[in-house]
This record gives sequence, C-alpha cells and structure tokens, in this order.
Amino acid sequence: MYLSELVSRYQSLSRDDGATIVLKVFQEPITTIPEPVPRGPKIVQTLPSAEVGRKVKVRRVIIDPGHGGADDGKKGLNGLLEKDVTLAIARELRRILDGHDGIEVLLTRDDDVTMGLIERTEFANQQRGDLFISIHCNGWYAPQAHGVETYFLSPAKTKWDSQVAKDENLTTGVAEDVDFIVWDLVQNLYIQESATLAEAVQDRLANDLGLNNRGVKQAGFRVLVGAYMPAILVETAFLSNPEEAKLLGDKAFHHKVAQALASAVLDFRERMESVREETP
Amino acid sequence: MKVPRPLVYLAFAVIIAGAILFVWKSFFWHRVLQEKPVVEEIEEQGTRTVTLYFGDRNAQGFAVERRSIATSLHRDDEIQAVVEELLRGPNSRRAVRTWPAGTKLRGAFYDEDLHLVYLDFNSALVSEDTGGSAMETMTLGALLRTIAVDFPEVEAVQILVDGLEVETLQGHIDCTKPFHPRDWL
Repeated sequence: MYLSELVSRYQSLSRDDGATIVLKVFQEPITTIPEPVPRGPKIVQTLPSAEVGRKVKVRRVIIDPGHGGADDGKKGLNGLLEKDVTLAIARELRRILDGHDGIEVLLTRDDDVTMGLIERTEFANQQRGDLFISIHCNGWYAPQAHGVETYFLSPAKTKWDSQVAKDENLTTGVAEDVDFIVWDLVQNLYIQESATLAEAVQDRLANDLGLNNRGVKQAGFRVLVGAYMPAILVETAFLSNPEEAKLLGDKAFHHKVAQALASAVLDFRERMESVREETP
Repeated sequence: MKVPRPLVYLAFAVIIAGAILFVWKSFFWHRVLQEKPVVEEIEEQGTRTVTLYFGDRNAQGFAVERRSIATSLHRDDEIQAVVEELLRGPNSRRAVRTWPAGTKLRGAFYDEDLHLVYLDFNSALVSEDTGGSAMETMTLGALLRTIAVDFPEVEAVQILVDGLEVETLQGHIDCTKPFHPRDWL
C-alpha cells in the first residue's frame, strides 16, 4: 500500500546539513484560517449590506461555561478554578433569563464534565440556538492586568488557504475537503451580528459592574468556529489579579455578571428587532 | 664544456623548488581545497539585529527589544535563534515574558516552497497552570509579530507540541491550522 493511500497529505522537509530529515504526516488536508491579532477595542469588520439587517430572532440562547472536567482552565491566585466560576455564572444566568419573555436558555454543560470545543458548538447547532455565549475568566503573567473583554471570531480569509489547498492537491492528488472548509466559514455569515452582540455584552459588563473596559476584540477562537448563529466569548475578569480573583469567588458577583449578561441579550434582541423594522 | 657556475646554482634551485612544490601539492593542496568551503562559511557568518516582542504588564500591548543573533546559511537556524531569545524573556523589568514556565523550542523547520515554518515546542507550552484569552493571544501575538518583522518572507507558522498539532494552547485560539504572521501586526 502506498503512503498516499494511508494518509491524505504528507510532507518531507530536509536540511542541507545532511543530518536532519522531517517527515510530517497529516490525517486530513490542511486548510488555513488567519488569526488577526486583537489590536485594540472596537475592531468591527464590515460586511456587504445584504448581510446586515436580516432577520435574527432571539428565542433560544446557548450558554457555554468554559472548560470543565479534566480541564480546570485558569487557576486563580486564591486557588479558584475557572471551570467552577464559569459554571456558577452560567447557571445563575439561566436562572435569571430562562422563561423571561419567551427566551429559553440551554447550557452546553451543566456539570463538571470534560467537553471538547467543537462538541460545544455542535450542541449549539443541534439545538438550533439563536445565540451562543461562551463564558470564561481571564489570566496573565503579571497581576496588574484587570477588566473585562469580549471577543468575536476573526473573519476567515480564503485566498491563501485556497492556494495552499490547491498546491497540496496538485502534489498529493487528494481532493479538497469542501465540507471542512465551508464549516470553517460558517461563522463568517454572522460576523456582523456577533460584533453587535459583543458590543452589547461589553457595554453591560463594563458599565453595570464598573469593570475596566478592555474593549471588544477579535481572534480565532476554536469554540466559535462553526457556530451557525451570532457567537461570542466573554472574559469576565482576571483570576490572576488579586482583587478580581476575590470577586470571582463571590456569589454576589456571579449574580451581577449574570444579570449584566441577561440585560445584554435583551439589548441585542432589541437592536436586532429595530434593525428589522428599519429594513424594508 | 664548462657550465657557468651561476647556471648550475639556478638549475639546483629550480629542481629543489619543483620538488618542494610537488611535495606540498601532494600532501597539503587537497586539504586546502577541502577547507575552502569552511573558510567561506565562516566568512559569511556574522550577526544581525532582530526585533523581539514581549508583553506589557496589562496584557494590552507589546514591549519591543532589539538583540543580535548569529546569521546562518539556514533560515531554520535563524528562526530558532529568534524564538529562543523570546523564550529567554525580556531584559526590561517593565516587559513581561509571554510563555508558560519551562517552555522550550524543540526545533524549527522552514518549508521554502510554502514559506511555512513549523515551530515544535515541548509540552510546557500547554501546561495546566496557565490560561485566559489574554494570555493566549499575547503568547501568539508576541511570537507572530516577531516573526513577521524579522522574517517577512515567512507566510505562515504552524505550531506543534512534541511534534504534533494541537487544538489550542490553553483552550481558546484555534492552532490546528497555520497562522499568518503579517495578520498579527
């Protein structure tokens, strides 16, 4: 059996020193998505007007408590685990928002269980969620960093990716995995709405809780790729900051964060409905 | 016929010089030829100044330092040297190292056809005592900015851990595909 029949793509790299040879084997064709660095607040991509102002209902909200099970997430200075904080906030948010004005809230995990990142998005898609909010706690090597920041996915670019796929197909004779690429681009359809949702969440958390506003940012989050709905990830506060780590262990703070997130969902729904009314 | 004495001396001198040249060529000339490429490589080696990015204390921006690395005929070696300088950390107390403790670079391999560099780190890069989107975006941002500035010909960077692709470093940013360094500037 030939190597090309066993694997879909392989690549050999050799160096001129005559001593080093690298054989790299891939189980599936590589496609690439660039990850623009979050340079600062308010980086909002604009899409063609046809993509803006379409009908986006907000009935079923999917809340994703970050990490869980074997994945503790960030460990706080006070021993607090990110996975426990995110679950506590998510449960409180469900208690506040579920049943409110026709809104249904579902959690990707409702216990301390290990869950893959793609599995979370798949759950949201299978449940036909209208919104996806992934809740996290932040961390940094220096204790000074503090505040709240909200992310949405960087739009995927395909020019270079397509060229790489094309080159690889020429050298390996492997057909392009169209489904895989399309799946990666799904969140692109909702970038504008995701940006609006991110702004609503950021405004509420920064203003209602008085947290340091670090801004709305973009990055290539694995858990947001493939979400067939507006999707964001919120970093509520820093577990590496002594004051904020203390807050994150406080039930009253969990309630305030959950209340701010619930208000943000309602703000977003209002904005979407006003867009729909303005759109002919 | 009497040969003039100066001519005899000259003949002797020519014969002796020829013999010396023959012996030297036989025993030493090939060694000179063999050593020649090494001499050229040493002559081509020098140093170059590179720009390194580290984090600031608030994880909101980058601190820049310039250092000197040895130039090499192999692009892989220069990239490896630059990443190892990043791992060494900043000289300034106001700057912050952007890597989990114990992170080491196992190797750097540059694919000249795709302009794609593979950076293979040890498992400390995905250690459990780290986390947070700020941490992860700053780790990647400092690395990719540095490569974009110091090696503008590099189109893409694929991160590996112990020789394998990883889903993310700390549960956030998708690392299953190559990054485009210039997009991080």
